[in-house]
Amino acid sequence: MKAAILACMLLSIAAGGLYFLTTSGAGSEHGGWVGGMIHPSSAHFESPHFGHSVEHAGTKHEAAGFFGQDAHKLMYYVSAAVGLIGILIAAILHGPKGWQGLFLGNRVIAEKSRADSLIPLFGPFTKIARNKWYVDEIYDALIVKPLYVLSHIFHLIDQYIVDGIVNLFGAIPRWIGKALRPTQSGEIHGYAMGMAGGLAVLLVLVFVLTR
Amino acid sequence: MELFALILLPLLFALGVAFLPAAQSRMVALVGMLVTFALTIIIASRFDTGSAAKYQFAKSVEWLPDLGLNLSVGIDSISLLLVLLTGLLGPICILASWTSITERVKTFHVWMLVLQAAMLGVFCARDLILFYVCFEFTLVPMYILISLYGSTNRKRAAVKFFLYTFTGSVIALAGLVYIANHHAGLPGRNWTFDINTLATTARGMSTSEQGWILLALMAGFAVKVPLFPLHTWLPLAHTEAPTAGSVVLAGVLLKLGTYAIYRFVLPFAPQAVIEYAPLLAVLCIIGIIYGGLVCWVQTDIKKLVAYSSVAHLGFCMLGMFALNHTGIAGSITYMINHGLSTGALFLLIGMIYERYHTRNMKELGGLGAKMPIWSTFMVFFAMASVGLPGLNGFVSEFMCMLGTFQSSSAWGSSNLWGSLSDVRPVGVTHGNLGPWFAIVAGTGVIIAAMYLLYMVGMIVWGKLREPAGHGAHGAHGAAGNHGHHQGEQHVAVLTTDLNTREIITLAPLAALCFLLGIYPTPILNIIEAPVQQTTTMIEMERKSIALTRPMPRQGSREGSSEGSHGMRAGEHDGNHAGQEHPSPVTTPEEAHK
Repeated sequence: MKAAILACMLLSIAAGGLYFLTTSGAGSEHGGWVGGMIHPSSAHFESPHFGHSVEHAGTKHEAAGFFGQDAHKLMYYVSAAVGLIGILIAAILHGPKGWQGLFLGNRVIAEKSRADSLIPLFGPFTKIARNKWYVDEIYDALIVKPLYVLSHIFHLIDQYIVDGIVNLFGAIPRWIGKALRPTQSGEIHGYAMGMAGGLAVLLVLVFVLTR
Repeated sequence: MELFALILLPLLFALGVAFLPAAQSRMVALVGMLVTFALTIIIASRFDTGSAAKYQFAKSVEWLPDLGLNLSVGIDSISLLLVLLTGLLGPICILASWTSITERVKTFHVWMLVLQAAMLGVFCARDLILFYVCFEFTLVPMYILISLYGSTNRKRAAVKFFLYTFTGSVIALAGLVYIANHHAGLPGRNWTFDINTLATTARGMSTSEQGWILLALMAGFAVKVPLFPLHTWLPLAHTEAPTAGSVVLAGVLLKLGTYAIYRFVLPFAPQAVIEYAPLLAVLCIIGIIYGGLVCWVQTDIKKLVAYSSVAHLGFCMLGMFALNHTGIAGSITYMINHGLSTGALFLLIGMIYERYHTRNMKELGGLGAKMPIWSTFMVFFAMASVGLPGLNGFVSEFMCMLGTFQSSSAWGSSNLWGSLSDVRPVGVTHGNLGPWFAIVAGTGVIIAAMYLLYMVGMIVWGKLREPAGHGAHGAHGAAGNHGHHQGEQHVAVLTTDLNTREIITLAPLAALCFLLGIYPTPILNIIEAPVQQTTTMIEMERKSIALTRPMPRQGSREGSSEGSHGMRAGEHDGNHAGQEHPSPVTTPEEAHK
C-alpha cells in the first residue's frame, strides 16, 4: 500500500509538473486535459457506487477493516489526498514564484523551473534519469550486441562447418580422381605393369580359394 | 480421370510451347497455367468436403502389374490444398517472369510447365513409385531453371541443389523399397507400391526397424524441407534461382518435403516418430533460432528471405512432430501460408532486382517514397511472414506452437516444470515435447520480427539509396537492355513503381494472406478429418508401444504405468494425471478453441 501511495504521489507530481511546465512560454493553453485527468481519479472512478464491491465479492478484502474503516473506502480518500499533495508539490517545484504558483492556470517556462535547484540533491540520479536509466544502452550491450556477434558466428559456422561438411563430400571424389589421375598416363609400360600385377593378384586369389 | 488430366494438362501445354514460335511461349504458358489452375478449382469445387479424409477422384491404371506398379492417383483435403497452392502459383510465376526472362524464352516456359506437372503429380500420387518419380522429376526442371536463368553463381547452385537433394532422396527410395520388399516377403503377399497397403505393413514392423525407415526417409525428405543441418543447399539455390524459380522453390518444392513427411514418415514409422520426436523437434528448434539469427546478418535480401524459410519450416515441422491435432493442423496450414507469404516476398525481391540489378541491402534503401505500391506490398508480406495477428502467418505459427506446448505426457506431473503442479490445461495431449520446446521455439518469433523488420527498415524506410549509376533515368534501362534478344517485341519497359502486371501477380497472394489470417476456419475444417485420422493412428501406436514396453514402476505412484503412453522407458516417471483425465486426447473441437 505504501508503494501504491508513493507511486500515486510520483505520478501526480509528474502529471502536475507536466501541467505547470510549458515549453512554449507562459500562458500556453495546453491545460485542458488536466481537468479531465483529475476528474476520473482513483477517488471518483472506483467509488462504491460503481459496483466495485460486486467485482471483488467473496474476497477477503471486503471484510477487512482498517482502523475501523472500510479499507477500500479509506483508500479513496487517502489516494485523493495524496494526489492533491502531489499536485501541490508539483506546483511548488514547477509553478511560478509566490503564492499564485499554487493556483492552476499559472505556468512557467521549462528552463526556469524551480525543480532545477533540486538537481544537486539527487547527485548522479539526475544524469541517469536524463539518459532514460540507460535502458537502451544496457539492452544494447546485454542482448543486441551478443546476439549480433552470435549471429555472425552462426553464419560462419553455417558457411564453413555445416556447408563445409557438405562440400567435403563433394570434394572427396575429386580428390580420389586427382590421386588416380597419374595412373592414366598413357604409357604402355604402366598399363602393362598394372595388367601383370592384376593377373598376379587374380592368380594368387584363385590359388588360395581353390585349395 | 480429373487428376490424370491435371497432371497431363501442363505437359500438353509444354508440348505446345515447344512447337510454337518463341514469341508466343509466354502467352501459351500463361494460358496453360491458367487452365491448369482452373481445373484445380473445378476439382476443389467438386471435392466432397464431407469425407475429406477419403482419397477422392481416385483412379488406378495398371502399369507394370508383375511388379505391382500402378498409376494410381487420388487426393484427400490436404493434397487438395497443396494442389490449389501449386495451381495458383503457376500463372503467377509465368506473369512474374514476363519481362525478366528474355533469353531462351521457350526453354524456360517448357520447363516451368513440366515442373508444374511434376509437382501436381507428387500431390496426387497414391502409388509410391509414381510419387517418387514425380518427386525426383521436379529436380530436372529446377536444375535447368537455376543453371540457365540464375544469377552469377548459378551453375554451382544448380549442381549443389541437384546432388544434395538427389542423394538424400535416393536413400529415401531405399527405405521405401525396403518396405515394399518386406511386404512382398510376407506370406500370401505380392509386390505392391500402394501407399495405404505399405503403410499398414510398415506399421507392423518393430520400433527399431521403423527407426531405420525413419532415418532413411528423413534423409530424403528432411533435405527437401530443409531441417537444420541439411539446409545449406537452400540459401544458395534460392539466391541464385530466377524469381519464378525461387517462388516455386519456396512455395511448393519445400512443401514436397513436409508433405512427404506427413504422408510417409508419420504413417510408415509412427512408433519411431513418437520415439524420436524430441530429437527431431530439437533440430526444428535449432533451425528456427539458428536460421533466424543467420538471417539477421545477411546483406543479400534474397538470401535473407531464403534463410527465413529454414526458420519458418522449422516451425512447420515442429508442429508436425507435436503429433497432436493442433500441431499437425497448424503444420499443414503453415505449408499453405508459407507458400503464399514467402512466395510473395520472393516476387517482390525479383521486382526490385529487375529494376536495380542488386539485392544488396546496403545499396538499397528508402524505397518507400519512390515505390509506394511496392513498399506497401513489401511491408504487408513481411508482416504476414513475421506472423502478425490478423494475417495468415500468425494462425499457423500459433497453432504449431500451441500444439507443441500441449504435446506432453508430463502435464500435471512434476516432470513438466520441475515442481509438482496439478495444472492440466484443456487440450493437452500425450507426447514428448511440451512447454519448454514451445517456449524456446517462441523466441524464434521474436527473431523473425527482428530480421524481417530490419530488412523492411533498411530498404523501405530511411533515406533513398540506390545503386551507383542508377540515376535520373530511373529503372527503365533494365528491361530495355535485353529487349532485343530473340526479337522480343512486347517486352514492356518497367515503370518506376509496380505496373499492373506486377500488381496482378501480388494481389491474389495478398488477398489470400489476409483472408486466411482473419478467417482460417474453412481450411481448418477441411483438413480436420484427415488430421484426425492421423492423430488417432498415432495414439493407437502410442498405446501399443506402452503395452509392449511397460514402464518401470515407481514405488510412490501405484499403477503409474497405466497412464504413460509412449514415453521412453525411464524418461518420465509416470503420469498420474493420466488417470484423472481418462481421455486427454484432443478432440478436434478442443483443438480449435
